[in-house]
Amino acid sequence: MLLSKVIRRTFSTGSLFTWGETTHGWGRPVNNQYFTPGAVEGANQVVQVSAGQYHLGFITKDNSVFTTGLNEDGQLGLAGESVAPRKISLDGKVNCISCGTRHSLALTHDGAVYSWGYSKAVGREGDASTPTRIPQEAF
Amino acid sequence: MSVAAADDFSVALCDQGHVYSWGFGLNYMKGWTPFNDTPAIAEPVAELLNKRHSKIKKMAAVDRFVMLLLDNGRLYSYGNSKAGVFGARTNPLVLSDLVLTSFFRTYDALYKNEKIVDFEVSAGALIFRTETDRIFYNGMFDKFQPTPFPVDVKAKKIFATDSSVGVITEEGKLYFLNDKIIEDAECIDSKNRVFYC
Repeated sequence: MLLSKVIRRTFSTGSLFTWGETTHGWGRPVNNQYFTPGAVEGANQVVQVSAGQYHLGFITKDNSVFTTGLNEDGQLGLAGESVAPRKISLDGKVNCISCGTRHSLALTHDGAVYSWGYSKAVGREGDASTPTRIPQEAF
Repeated sequence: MSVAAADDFSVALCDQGHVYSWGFGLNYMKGWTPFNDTPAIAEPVAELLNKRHSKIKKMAAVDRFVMLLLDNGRLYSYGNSKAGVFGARTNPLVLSDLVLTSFFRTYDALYKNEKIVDFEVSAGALIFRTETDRIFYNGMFDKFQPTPFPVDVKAKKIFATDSSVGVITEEGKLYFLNDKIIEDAECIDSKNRVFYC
């Protein structure tokens, strides 16, 4: 598909396209290098996306949060790995996600910040793979 | 408020204009606490804002650095970038002091003090737009000074990937500076190494 069509389709439907190395999924079959954009199955009405080192997260129009990719440090916010994006549960309407090297952050409409992933990165001891709200008074 | 997850540390820009950081990995940046398990005000940023009497317009944190666009149109960065997104190569293996880049002085000299109105940055590349709608980029391991985007377009959105930069125009055209993703011969401007559709 021509990239112009990809862009038009992305703009009109909120589809998500990825390309590059997919060693850990990114919504497309793994262990391939994609030099052209390809649609991520199940990613529709996407309004914001953030790519980490080996994982990515995106938000859909209804403020749901999805993640896919490497989950070695719990950066997906749920157990196991999956090529297909999976929805994670957060309280409140999320309007921004940011994926780092091996952790993730989410910001809700009412200013709540959630973090999950590599424990040292999110500032928690032990398993930090469950999205946890940072106390409001911290800011 | 905005948040950014970087290389094992996090940064938040609050509505009041304060910048907080937490996590691990800032220990090479003077003034930043080596490890915070809870968000703490980033003192170097507070000092910068006091000094410049400015507010932060946009914040980004990726890889091992933080980048701030102030409302005076100047861009500041802290940390290390081996790809040269600061406008100069810095060695990530050396635990350096706070790097207040001289990027802007260089930029001022080259481009007559134009204000920056927007930027996007990744671990490997920086792209920014000035008040006169000119677009520049640097980084990518070989561009250590701001370089004009090779195509003169009016950008609706600019973006930076790990190894390249791109522009989406008002008309919905995409220009992507790269020499790898090019597969569609109809979309190649080989002279300028730009992939466009």
